[in-house]
Amino acid sequence: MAQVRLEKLVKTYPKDSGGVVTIVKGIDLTIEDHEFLVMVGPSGCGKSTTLRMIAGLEEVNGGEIYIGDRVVNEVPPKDRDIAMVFQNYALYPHMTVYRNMAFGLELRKMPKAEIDKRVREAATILGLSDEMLERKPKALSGGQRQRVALGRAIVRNPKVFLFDEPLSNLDAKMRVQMRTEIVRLHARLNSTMIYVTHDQVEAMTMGDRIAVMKDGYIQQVADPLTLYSRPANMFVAGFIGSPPMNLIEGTLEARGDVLTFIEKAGTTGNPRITLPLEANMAAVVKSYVGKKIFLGIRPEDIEESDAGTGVLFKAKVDVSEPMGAETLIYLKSASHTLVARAKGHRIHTPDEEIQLVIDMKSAHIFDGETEESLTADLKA
Amino acid sequence: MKSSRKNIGIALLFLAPNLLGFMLFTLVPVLLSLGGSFTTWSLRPSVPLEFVGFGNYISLFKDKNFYFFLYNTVYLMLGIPISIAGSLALAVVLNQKFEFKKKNTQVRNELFLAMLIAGASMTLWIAGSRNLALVAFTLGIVALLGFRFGSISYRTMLYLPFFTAGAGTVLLWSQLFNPNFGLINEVIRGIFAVLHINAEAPGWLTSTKSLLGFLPLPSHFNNGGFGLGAREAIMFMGIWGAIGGNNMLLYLAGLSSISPELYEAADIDGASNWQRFRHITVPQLAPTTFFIVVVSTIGGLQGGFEQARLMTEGGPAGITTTLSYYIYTQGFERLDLGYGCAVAWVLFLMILGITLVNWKYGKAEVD
Amino acid sequence: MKREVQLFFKHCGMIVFVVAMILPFLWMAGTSFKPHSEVERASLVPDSPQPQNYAVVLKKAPDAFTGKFLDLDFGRWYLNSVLIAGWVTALQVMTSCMAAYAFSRINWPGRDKVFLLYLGTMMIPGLVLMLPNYQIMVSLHLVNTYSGLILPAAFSAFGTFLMRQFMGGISKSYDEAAFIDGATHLQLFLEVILPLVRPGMVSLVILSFMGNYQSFFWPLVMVKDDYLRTIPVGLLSFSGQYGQQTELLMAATLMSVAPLIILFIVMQKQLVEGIQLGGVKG
Repeated sequence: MAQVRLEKLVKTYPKDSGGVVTIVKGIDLTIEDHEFLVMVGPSGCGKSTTLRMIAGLEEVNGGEIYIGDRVVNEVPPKDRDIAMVFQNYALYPHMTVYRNMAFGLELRKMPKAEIDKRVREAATILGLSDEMLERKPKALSGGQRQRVALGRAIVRNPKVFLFDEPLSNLDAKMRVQMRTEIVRLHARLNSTMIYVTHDQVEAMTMGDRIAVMKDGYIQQVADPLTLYSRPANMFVAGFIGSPPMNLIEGTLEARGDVLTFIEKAGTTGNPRITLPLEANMAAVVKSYVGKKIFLGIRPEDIEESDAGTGVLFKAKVDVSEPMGAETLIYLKSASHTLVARAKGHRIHTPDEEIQLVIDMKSAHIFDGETEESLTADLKA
Repeated sequence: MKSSRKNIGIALLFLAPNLLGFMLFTLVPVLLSLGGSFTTWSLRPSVPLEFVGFGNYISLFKDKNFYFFLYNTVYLMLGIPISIAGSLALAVVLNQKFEFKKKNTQVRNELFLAMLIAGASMTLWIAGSRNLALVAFTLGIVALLGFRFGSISYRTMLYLPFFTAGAGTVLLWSQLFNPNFGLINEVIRGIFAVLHINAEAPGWLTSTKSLLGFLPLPSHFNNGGFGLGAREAIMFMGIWGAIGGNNMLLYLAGLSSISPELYEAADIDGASNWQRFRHITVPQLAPTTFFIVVVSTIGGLQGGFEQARLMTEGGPAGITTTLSYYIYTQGFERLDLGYGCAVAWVLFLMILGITLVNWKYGKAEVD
Repeated sequence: MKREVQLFFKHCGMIVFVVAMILPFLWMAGTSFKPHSEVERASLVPDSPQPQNYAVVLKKAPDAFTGKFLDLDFGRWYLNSVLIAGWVTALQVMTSCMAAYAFSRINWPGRDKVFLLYLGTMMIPGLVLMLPNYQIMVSLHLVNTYSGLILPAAFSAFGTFLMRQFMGGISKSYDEAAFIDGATHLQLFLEVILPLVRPGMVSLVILSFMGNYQSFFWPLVMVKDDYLRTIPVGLLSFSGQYGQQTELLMAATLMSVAPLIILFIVMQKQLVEGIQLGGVKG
């Protein structure tokens, strides 16, 4: 097992019109030995490109990649001691499952007995029967094929496992199942694993730590809970969590002793959300009076109620989506649409005005220009 | 994958055998040929090698026969549109369903047919008309295969002339076109007899007549007047060989990729079969047609060699000498390689020019 | 019911057309069994069939009409045609696959320009090349030899083009997985890519064999001695020398066409796929 370190890693592509476009803009990241790190972000953020640079499938245009203590920029993939699981499995269609898994070992001239031992061990771990080993990939289901792809990586006993959106091609049910299997695998093998996905649910449930990427930069690297409760900026805040955090644009006003957040004016005619800040929060943001800021509050922190600990406010219902155990209520305020997660089954009609309560301790404030969080340190 | 200078080494290893052959047998000859066309290059020992600049080309353009042979070449290409249209028609027909819906109807048809054929063949045979017996028998076999396997079997059988084309079939056809006892003229004479037409059967390969023979052409074009002569024979053979061939297959592939919704919309609009064909099928097949026309033109301009060499030696009176045959006679019979190369390059320029015209015109149509 | 009747007539029309198209083959078969006296009649079926025509062509028996053995070596031509076409096909497939690999799986500067050059030469009529190629053969003393017949045809830009088309359809992920598994280019080529382009190779084999078996121009100019002749050239001299013996000529022609018919019936599915893939992609 080994640590993987990226220092100021850059990737550029030449443009047709001349010049280059920079996909990965100088990132620093250390993946600790035995860690399961997830790189997550929207399409085009550079996560797959970064992974492929670690694998050696893409050339590095700047910075270094260390595997262990070695700089591996110029080392070909087969000598980096890594294994990769592809999104489309990349199983050799004309070879049996057995041979697919054994191929890498065959190429390294490993003795047949050793190959057999490893393949069968991996098959057992992954629940692949002997009969399945003799089949060709096209005779297997999606989930089985993914397991074979995993097996191919396992038998190599590599220093680092790389996963490139491996579950994207599976149906929802299979995805959930394979998620837990991969996590179990990590626990069992205790290897370093780097996992790329665009699905934040996968990221949150699987990773020891998560690196959120956007536009070629790493926005934040932290464990799931930290990302959830102390996002470093608006992008991370809006990316993690489903339904996403409500982000309300507005300003701060001093009303007497209390610093109050007032929503931006809008054209709907609905009342503007007005929320007094708690004292410790106010202390941090008091220099922002009059400036543009964003207030972030997660749907699960807005409850429909006319009592309880927190600040009350009224809003009009836009749409109500009862989900059984909870109801998603879409609300219209002066200039925003908010989502609230109310417990239980509620029925509302459009334009109905209801009373909601927010726990202000869970609120976040973001700088209106830089979009960085001002309140992250508070939530220790 | 990284693109890098290092990869050139590996690429060369894989490329080497093919590249060496390519250079030696394609690239070098191209250059030699171009260069040679400017000289008096000849395999006759009496002719010294001299640089003559455009001399060969000038004699070429002054050569009356050059235009004659060009006319022959273009004439033979007149069969190409007919053959392409034929391939299209066949493809359209074969693209339809040929399977009988009810299984028992099919089996019943097959049995009925088998008995019919057996009976007819035997009767005819015994009655002495063995030719008709064979024809009946063949009709029966083809019908059985067709009923059983549908349009696939027809498609296979129609491809046969194309696949077997070569020296063998060319010789076969020269026998068929024999004006005295060839099968074709026998059939024609039979038809004339039945219809009480008092005319001679065409002379085919021995005749200098042609369908465009009424045109006032220069005398060295050896124009024999209106009729069916050697050129028509070759054209007919060409159509036979091409109609069920690759073009038909390409059209079949193209047809299967036309979205049925287009036809459904047309049906709702009330279009007739012909309108469907004209306004949906033909435009949708435009890219395929374009490809076929370009390839056929390139091939057609270079064609006519085998037929000339095997059937007519370029005659009678040179009317089947195409430019490719001319190049052969100049280069390998008279051994004037320099002049032959010049003719070849002029031919190339013609092909290039026409291909470019096709391309411009065709691309506009396709888009 | 009307549909079925319409269908029946459609079948009939097609059947008649097909039979008309293959009628020449029937006539050829029939005539090949005729004794010389019947040749002048345009019949399909001989009155008194003479199968020894075939033996005559193969020089196993004297000609019934002239009483003499033939002066030409048909059996030898057969062998030559198959041998030469076989060698050319084998060489073509090997070199084309390797070249196609270089053009599609390896990234190197100038790759696409060189490929364009290959494509460009495909447009040049073969005739332009024939004359100088002949001179080259003369200089290399390869005229009238087997090598001279095989080598120039063995390196085909078309074969490279076709195989590259097929290889282009294979996902690059296999390459990446193989590199990570530890494969070199050679191992990737042999173990992964080649097995996956097998349909393309089959198509190329069929097209190449068929084309080279029928090749007429090149053997015509290359060959001086009878024992080196291939079938198309041989038929020419047959026709020249024994042209009056139509029955023998037809027997020879039928025998020369037979392997093609058999090859076609056996391989027609792959062949059709190959043509459509190669042609429609353009």
